[in-house]
Amino acid sequence: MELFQEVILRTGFLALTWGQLVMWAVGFTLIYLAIRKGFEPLLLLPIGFGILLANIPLTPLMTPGSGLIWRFYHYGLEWEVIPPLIFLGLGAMTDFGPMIANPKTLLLGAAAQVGVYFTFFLALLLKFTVPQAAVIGIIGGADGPTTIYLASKLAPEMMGVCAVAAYSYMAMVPLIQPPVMKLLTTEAERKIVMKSLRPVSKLEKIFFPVVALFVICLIVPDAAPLMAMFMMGNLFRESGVVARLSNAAQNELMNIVTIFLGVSVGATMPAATVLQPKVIFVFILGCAAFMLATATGVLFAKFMNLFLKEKINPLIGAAGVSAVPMAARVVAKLGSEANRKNYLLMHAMGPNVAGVIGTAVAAGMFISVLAK
Amino acid sequence: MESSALILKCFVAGVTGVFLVMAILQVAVTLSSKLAIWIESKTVDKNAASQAGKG
Repeated sequence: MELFQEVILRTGFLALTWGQLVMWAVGFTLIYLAIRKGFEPLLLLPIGFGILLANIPLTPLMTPGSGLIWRFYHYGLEWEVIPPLIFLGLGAMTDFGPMIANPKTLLLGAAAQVGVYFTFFLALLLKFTVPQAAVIGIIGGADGPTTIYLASKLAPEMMGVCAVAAYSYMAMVPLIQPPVMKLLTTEAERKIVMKSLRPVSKLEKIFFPVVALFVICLIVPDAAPLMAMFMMGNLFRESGVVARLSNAAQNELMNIVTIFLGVSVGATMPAATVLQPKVIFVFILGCAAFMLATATGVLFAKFMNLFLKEKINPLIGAAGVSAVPMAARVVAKLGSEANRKNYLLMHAMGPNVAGVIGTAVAAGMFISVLAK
Repeated sequence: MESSALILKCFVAGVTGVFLVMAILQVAVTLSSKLAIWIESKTVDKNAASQAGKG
């Protein structure tokens, strides 16, 4: 009888708390959204599973120093290895051609980051600390790896929640952005047709990652871990001489680190950390960040039109939030709804990839001010 | 007071920094594109000249 009692006491059932049950529900919801609705499945599925793992009582998976998932987290995220590796893969996947053909769109990638800073202020009003507010603000950059990277540097306790918010809202870009874009533009502005982009040569594409590396890393050295990997991945792609490395960065390496990233981020969400009233504000602010970043991008595009001879369609400013290529597709859809002859996809890809750079630079600026 | 100074620093440095990087990058991309196009046109000219020589 005593032996039976001892076995019962050693199971996790008796240690189970209500908070952990709630987190199971959260984990299952993310898994459901990933499988049934296709919401960012590559990330939300492992994150949802990681949440389940972190909330099974008495398991040693997240025990500091010895837990299996803790090791993924410690060596992958705390050591800042995984987000830069994701950027290596992203660089190898990215075609900077539309941006090189129309370099003005770089400014739209910067303008969308203003929304990040507005959200930063909103978070401060809601009594978050300065580093926490910075991490919440960067959600508006719509870039998961950058959000995770910044959280690991400034507010590790916010990492899981902010990553889930960022990836969830990235999946909801087609719902969040269009009302803001329509509100801030007139029918006539949405109808503006942009001239086809010029073709970009191979040599121009090879020059770009090298030039961008020096410009960005010399001005914002704290953005170097992300940008160095991003530009190296892009050079792999554009050089055309290391197809194996480019393919490995885009596929095998990207897939492997995505598994470790997702499960580690999910495992940072035990009930005790996540079930706090402030977490609701993170999700509200995350949504606000996306909307504000969209708004500032569109408004800046309108501002640019005051000085440009050849007007740009202000809708493309919304693509400055990154979320590649979803935001660009939303722009293309709205543009063609206003004018059937309007093909904005490639025009929107410029600010879209510029937004990735802009978000990483904004994160680097936060790190340079707050992490020292 | 120190906190509000830090917040202001974050905002001003951040917004200025992002726009500065992008503006300089815009100039750098434009110049590097021009250089690439110039190098390519020179190469094309050279090739055309050598082809004409052979002919």
